[in-house]
Amino acid sequence: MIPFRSLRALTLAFLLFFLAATLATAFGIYFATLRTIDHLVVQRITGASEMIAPDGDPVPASRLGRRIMAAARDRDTADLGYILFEQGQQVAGNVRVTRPLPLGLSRVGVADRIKGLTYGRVLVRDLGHGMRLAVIAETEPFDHYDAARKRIYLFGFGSIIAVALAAATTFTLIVRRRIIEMRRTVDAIFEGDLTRRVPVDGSGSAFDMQAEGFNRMLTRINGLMDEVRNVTNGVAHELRTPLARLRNQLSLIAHDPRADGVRDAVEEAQAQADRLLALFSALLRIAEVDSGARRENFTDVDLRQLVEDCVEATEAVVEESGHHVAELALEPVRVKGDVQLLSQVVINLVENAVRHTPAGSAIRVGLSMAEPGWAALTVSDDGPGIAPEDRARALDRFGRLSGAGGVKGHGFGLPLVASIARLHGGAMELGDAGPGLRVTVTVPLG
Amino acid sequence: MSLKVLIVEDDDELAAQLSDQLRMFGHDPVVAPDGRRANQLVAERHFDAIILDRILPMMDGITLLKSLRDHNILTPVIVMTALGQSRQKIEGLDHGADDYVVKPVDPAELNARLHAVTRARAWTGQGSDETLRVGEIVISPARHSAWRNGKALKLQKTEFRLLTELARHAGTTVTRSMLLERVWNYDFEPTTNLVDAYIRRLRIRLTEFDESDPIMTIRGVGYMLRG
Repeated sequence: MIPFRSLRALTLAFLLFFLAATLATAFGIYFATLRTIDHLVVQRITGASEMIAPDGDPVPASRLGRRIMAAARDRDTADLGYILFEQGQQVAGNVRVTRPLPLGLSRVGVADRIKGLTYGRVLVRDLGHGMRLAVIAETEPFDHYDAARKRIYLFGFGSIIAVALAAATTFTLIVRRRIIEMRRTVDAIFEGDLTRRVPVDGSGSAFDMQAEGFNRMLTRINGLMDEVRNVTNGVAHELRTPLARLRNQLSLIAHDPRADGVRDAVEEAQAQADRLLALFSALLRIAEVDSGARRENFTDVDLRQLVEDCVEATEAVVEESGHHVAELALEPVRVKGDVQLLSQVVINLVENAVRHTPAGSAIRVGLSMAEPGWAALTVSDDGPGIAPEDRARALDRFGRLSGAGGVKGHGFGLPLVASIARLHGGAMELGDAGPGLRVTVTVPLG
Repeated sequence: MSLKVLIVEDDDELAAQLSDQLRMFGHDPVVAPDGRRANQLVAERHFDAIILDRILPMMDGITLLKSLRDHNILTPVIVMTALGQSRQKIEGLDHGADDYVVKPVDPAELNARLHAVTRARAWTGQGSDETLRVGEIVISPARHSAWRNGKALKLQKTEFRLLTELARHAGTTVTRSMLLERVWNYDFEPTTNLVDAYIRRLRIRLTEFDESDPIMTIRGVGYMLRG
């Protein structure tokens, strides 16, 4: 039942059902009571009428009159109304009516102006010889009983509904609070704070058990993540130190006058070592970004100014490689973020475009508020692009595309951009610039 | 120029290696394994510069740096940090460090920065808007203009800042990462030769009227504006 998947819909459905059931019950009881009273009253007036004028036993009008008077005095039957008609005229009785009463069972009411009667039943029997006997009884045990009954029902069933409403609301609020707590934890974890846990109150309730299970799972995941991070960091740090020593040694050799004949070779070796060091730096940078620690550096950033500065910074490189920035469409946008990391995003994307497109290619940089509340930075080129099936691999940290084998760079550029976007609560997306690659980085506005 | 350098580093091996490298560049290094010994040495004799490890036993680098500055010891200090602790770099500079380097340290880079911090002291007290004169080149940061042999140079913003930074350290080598930090304000290394490309542009601007190239390339290290 898909419509009842949301807590609100479920609660609402329950409440509606409960309301319908309660109202049905109330009306059921109300009408059953009325019918029962009616039934008893009819039985009573039928009995009283037959006592005065038994079936098949003709009694003269004068005797009937005496019997009516006697019944009207008797404590047991004094509350009934009696009228004897002869040729349509009222000849005896203790009440008067202003209209002709039909034969058989019918109803009388306030309109009949019978003293002390609000609602009642009347039985008119034909006794033969032009005589009719009407016996009237009230269906209300006392005056204004109907209003009182309605009040009783309103309070009785009303309070049941109120209690149910309060219970459902409380239940919903409790469940909602638990879900919100869990949601907050999930959000925090999504943003990189793996130390967050769902609050547990120690009551051992089903909620608590679920929260504890969830927390245990988080602790385990955090442990695994730490291990992976430690291994990555450890490897990068451990390898960087001897690599830096090797590079330094090469640097010293290059400075030695005796190395004149092999200086070019030594410098090439040094350049290779530098590339390896850059790769480790990128790995460590990604690890640093993923750890979420840089969030402490977040400030209010004028993203348009930042993008402008970065495009200017790469201008010389873009020009020298025979590329050009064909379009720079920047809207004023401010975000909360880390200036260095956001700069690195722009520089990386422009460098990426330069590196992966032939000379003469055009680079387009755009900054806009594509969706309300979101800044979208796009860097597109008109180069070969990345086929849709290869895009996932371009984001993979070790997924350098096979075609890009001869291209310089460590291949961590796009994964780093994706990590930085994630740190800022946004995302990176690879698309088609038709032709070429379009990289879009979205970040929430600050 | 030989500098008397105090290395404050608890890792013996690293300290020895650093000393060797500094000696190779003609400096005179002394090692202090912890903050207390460093304090003693600073009180006993004069140093041109101090290289300080960020993390030290007993007294960490920043605390030592603060205590030095509190005692009015203004010896230039270069803080060494591990990679991926950029926030600590800023913290180090806030507490009176003159510069920082990321471990593992490239000796040529460290040498260039040592020269820069010791030379930069000559600037202390001078307004940064003061007109700079390096050979035939005159730079007015206040007017955002530069001239060579009296002819105005057409420089774009980044080119101007690059020339100013080179001029401030004229006669000493400025490394690529120093330029990235100071001209571009980046704490990361771009994957393209962004600095080299701008140096080439600056050279074209400076030699527009067939003058000699005033910028020297120091292979594998950086650039130097002839003083």
